[in-house]
Amino acid sequence: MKLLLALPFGSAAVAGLMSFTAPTPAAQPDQPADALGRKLFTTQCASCHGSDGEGVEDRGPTLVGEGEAAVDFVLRTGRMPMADPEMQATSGPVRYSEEEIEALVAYAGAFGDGPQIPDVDADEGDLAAGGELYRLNCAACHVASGSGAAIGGGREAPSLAASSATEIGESIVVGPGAMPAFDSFTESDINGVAAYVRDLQRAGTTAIDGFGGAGPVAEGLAAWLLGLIPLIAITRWIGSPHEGRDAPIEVEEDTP
Amino acid sequence: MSGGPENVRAARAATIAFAAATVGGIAAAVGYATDNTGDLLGLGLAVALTGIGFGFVAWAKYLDLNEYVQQAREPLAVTAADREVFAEERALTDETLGRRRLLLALSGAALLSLVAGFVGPIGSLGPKPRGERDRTAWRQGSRLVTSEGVPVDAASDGFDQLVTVFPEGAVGRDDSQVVLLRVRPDLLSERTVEQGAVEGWVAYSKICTHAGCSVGLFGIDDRPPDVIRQLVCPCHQSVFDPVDAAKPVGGPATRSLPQLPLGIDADGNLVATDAFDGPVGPLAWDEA
Amino acid sequence: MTESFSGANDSVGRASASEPPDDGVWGREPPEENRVPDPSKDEIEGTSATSAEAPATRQRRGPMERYVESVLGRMGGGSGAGKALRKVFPSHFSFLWGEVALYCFVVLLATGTYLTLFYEGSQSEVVYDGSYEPLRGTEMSAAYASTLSISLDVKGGLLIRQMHHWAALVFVGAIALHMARVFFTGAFRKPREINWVVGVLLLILSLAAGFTGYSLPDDLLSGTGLRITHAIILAIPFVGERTTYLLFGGEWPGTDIIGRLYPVHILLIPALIVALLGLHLGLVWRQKHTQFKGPGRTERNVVGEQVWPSFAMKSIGLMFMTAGVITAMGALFHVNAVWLYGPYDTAAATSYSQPDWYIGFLEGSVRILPPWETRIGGFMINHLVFSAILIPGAIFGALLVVPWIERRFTKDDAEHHLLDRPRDAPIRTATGAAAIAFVSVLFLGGSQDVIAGTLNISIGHVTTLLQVGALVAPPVTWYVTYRLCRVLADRPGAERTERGGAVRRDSSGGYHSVADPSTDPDGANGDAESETGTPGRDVAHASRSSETTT
Repeated sequence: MKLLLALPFGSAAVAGLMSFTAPTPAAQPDQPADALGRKLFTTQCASCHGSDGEGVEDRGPTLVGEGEAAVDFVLRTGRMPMADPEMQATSGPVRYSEEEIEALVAYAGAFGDGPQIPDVDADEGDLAAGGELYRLNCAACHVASGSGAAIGGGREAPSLAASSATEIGESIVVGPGAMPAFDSFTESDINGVAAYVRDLQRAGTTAIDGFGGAGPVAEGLAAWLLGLIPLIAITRWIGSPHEGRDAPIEVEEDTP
Repeated sequence: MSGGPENVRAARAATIAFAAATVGGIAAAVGYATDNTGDLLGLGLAVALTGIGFGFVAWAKYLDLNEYVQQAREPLAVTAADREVFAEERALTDETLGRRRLLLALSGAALLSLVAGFVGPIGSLGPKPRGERDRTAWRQGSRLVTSEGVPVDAASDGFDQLVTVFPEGAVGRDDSQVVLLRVRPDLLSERTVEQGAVEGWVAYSKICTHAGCSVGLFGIDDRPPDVIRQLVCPCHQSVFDPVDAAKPVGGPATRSLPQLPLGIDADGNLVATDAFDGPVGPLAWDEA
Repeated sequence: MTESFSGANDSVGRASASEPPDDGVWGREPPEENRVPDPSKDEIEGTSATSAEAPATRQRRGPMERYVESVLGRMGGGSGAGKALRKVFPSHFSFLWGEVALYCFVVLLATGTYLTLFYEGSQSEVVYDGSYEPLRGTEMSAAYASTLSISLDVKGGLLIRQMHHWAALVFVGAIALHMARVFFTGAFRKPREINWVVGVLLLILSLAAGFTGYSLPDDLLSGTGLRITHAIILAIPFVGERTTYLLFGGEWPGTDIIGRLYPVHILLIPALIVALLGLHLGLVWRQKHTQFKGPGRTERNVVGEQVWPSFAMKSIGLMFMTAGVITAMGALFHVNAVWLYGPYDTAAATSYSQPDWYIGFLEGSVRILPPWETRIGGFMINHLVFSAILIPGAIFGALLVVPWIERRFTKDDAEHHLLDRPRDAPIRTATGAAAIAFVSVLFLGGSQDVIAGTLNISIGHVTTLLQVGALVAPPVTWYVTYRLCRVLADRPGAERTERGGAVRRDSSGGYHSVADPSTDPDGANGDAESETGTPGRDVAHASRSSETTT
């Protein structure tokens, strides 16, 4: 429900602008990976992040120390390239092919010493332990149902409905965007959380009959719109709408 | 008798409604028996209930009866005769019971003291406060551990990190929950460092000083021009500044989150160098 | 044959009445003058019920009538039952909203009773071993575990639980609608002030019932709400800390609170609600329902339909339909999916943590009131005192004294059984609208983060907007509503029907129209008996008798 309304704001604007400022490059077969990576970076990313990844004031942060996990995350979720640094990076259509992503990850991920792409296996995860960690650390921003929430300052913690296990792992170690990093999570912790989020996705917790996972507010609206409005209509049918239109029948007694 | 004309449509509608209701009830029973408790049981019952209701209303509203009658209201006011009775009874009371003032007073006192006697057991509902709220489980030297009991290595190098920690040996104790952050050391204000931040690690009580929820929302707004870090409570959106001693900068909270002073022990793990200075979380009126 | 009192009762199996019994085990016949007269044996003087010209209907005494009579004849209830069956209720649809609330309560009682057979109201720790995999092996309270069991393991349990929760959400809404109707039509005026107060108390009890109810599962969401409640009580000057220790058995969270909320929710509050409901309905029955103005309607009569069969059948139909709507919601829509929130963990929290909708005004007050705190000497009156005690206290305090505020301003001491159209009381309507506007801003405040997230505005902006709104919306609403009322009232309305007065039908079947009784409010042209409303004056009785005699 929240997603339906957020999409016009987020994706259309970003995607629309992206199509002007970040044209998809033609496929380049047979190019060595680091040459491809350098070429893509220089043409696509340097204008905001600097030719050496040190960042450009008011345009883009430094990528030094971000690591492969961060680069992989933003490329695979379509958060980058981003046209407007004023807006929060939201997930959207992926702009690069697998080869290009790998090249960029190798190139840009080598700036400084940042976290590698974690190896996440949701099947290995302990569902119950992952759930406890999720509620202790993630639910405050992403909501118990995984549907995401506004977190202040015009930013939001996005819905996890479409997040893959690797993306979840990358987010945890990188802390992309508004999100903090959770370095204290071990590999099995990450597997557990990934497993739990996958379970939330399967349960369809953000489905319409759960009112988008938004909880009591949506349920209260539903009580009024789906419960009370029909009941008012029913009372309108049962009772009489007007009073005083017709005179009542009154019978005279013939005995006192 | 003002009966309405037989309404064929209403009769048909009521018939269908009762028939549908019958089917609904049977469907519900079948649903239960076949483990289809999601839709068949629930919707069957809903159809049955609504059908019966519809049938009765249609019947009453359109068929056989279409009343529009009047009835007189009885006067509700107290009459003169009533007043006389009350006055007589009042006079009687004054002349009999009312004269025994001592008995009246004593019986009143006895009833009151009975109430006082019964108040006692209410006090057994809970102990008297004895300053438990002033103390958490944190002591000088308490090691910080995660909810899984793992100590926090001070060399763990991610910035803008968030960990929920407890004192070792008291994991899960409500009043000792602490939110531990690591940010770049140069970002912390002087006051924060003085109150016990070390190498960019800073710890605050996780209990919101507004109404007690867990402040678990650490947001980093890195849109230009400045990066803003906020600790937000998800309940009422109180905002605390994590780089400046968690002072309240937005929302309804009025007091900072108490800061836990940190140090690093010989093994490189984070420890508390002192307990909290005063009670944590929302306060009673005399804990200002 | 002597018609003796004892001999009249065949079922006792006494000896034939022709012989006086001896002085044995049954004692002697009471003397003639001490016998209790038996009405069915024509011993009461002067009752028309036994007159020789009794209408033909009296002769139809089948087994049903005999059974009913044998019950009523032991309670003196004969005439009362007859009057009850013929009592007239006005039929405007807005008068049914109170009934909707009542039937929601019936559904709550029924579904709630079922739930008590499965729920365990205890905070003792158990390790979950049910069918919900993500929580298997997790430690949780027995309350939470039993709620999971009801929702996921008991066949049909989830349906009943969801019906119970939806019914609670609709219940308070129906009460609010009903209260608004009573307010805007001035039905709270004399002689119904007491009933208004009873109604406001019922509203407060319904909020308490809902709050204690949704806290029983001991999940993360409701546990957070309990934490906030603890902080609110703690903030009360003088007695706050001690009171929290009494309620919670010590420090937060303690191990007692769920076990204590349980009997409050299933016994204390329902008992109070039932008692007050009895008073509420009893007063309506006794005072007769109000009605809108119109032809044939005066301050001295009630126009509508009679209890039997019209009103009763429609009411029963409404009960089934209300239950049907609630059942459909319970079957189709998830509500309060506690398995997602997990058991209450004092160090965890979830975003979008709101209470159930009807507590939203309190939540909003606590969120959008600016961070005000006062220190007096060494003592602190903190934000929660203002936002969670004083503001809601003022709202409910004002609600309770509405009838007396109205009397103070209108200097109107008369009995009112005819209702105002809202437009005809513009000041009252405007004030009510302004109050609703203020409370609505508070409700919006309670969901300010959901609003911010849905509309993609920052939470801070939404909060500021609502703070301004709380100050601006009431006076603006007041003014707009007032002008609207004046404009509408000046137009000729449906109220002023040209159709004229009453239509009289005499016992021979002919119709005559007579002068408009609304110009004759005292009924002075009618029979003197019209003041008393005895069954003999009732229309239907006469009409039925005329029907059978024609």
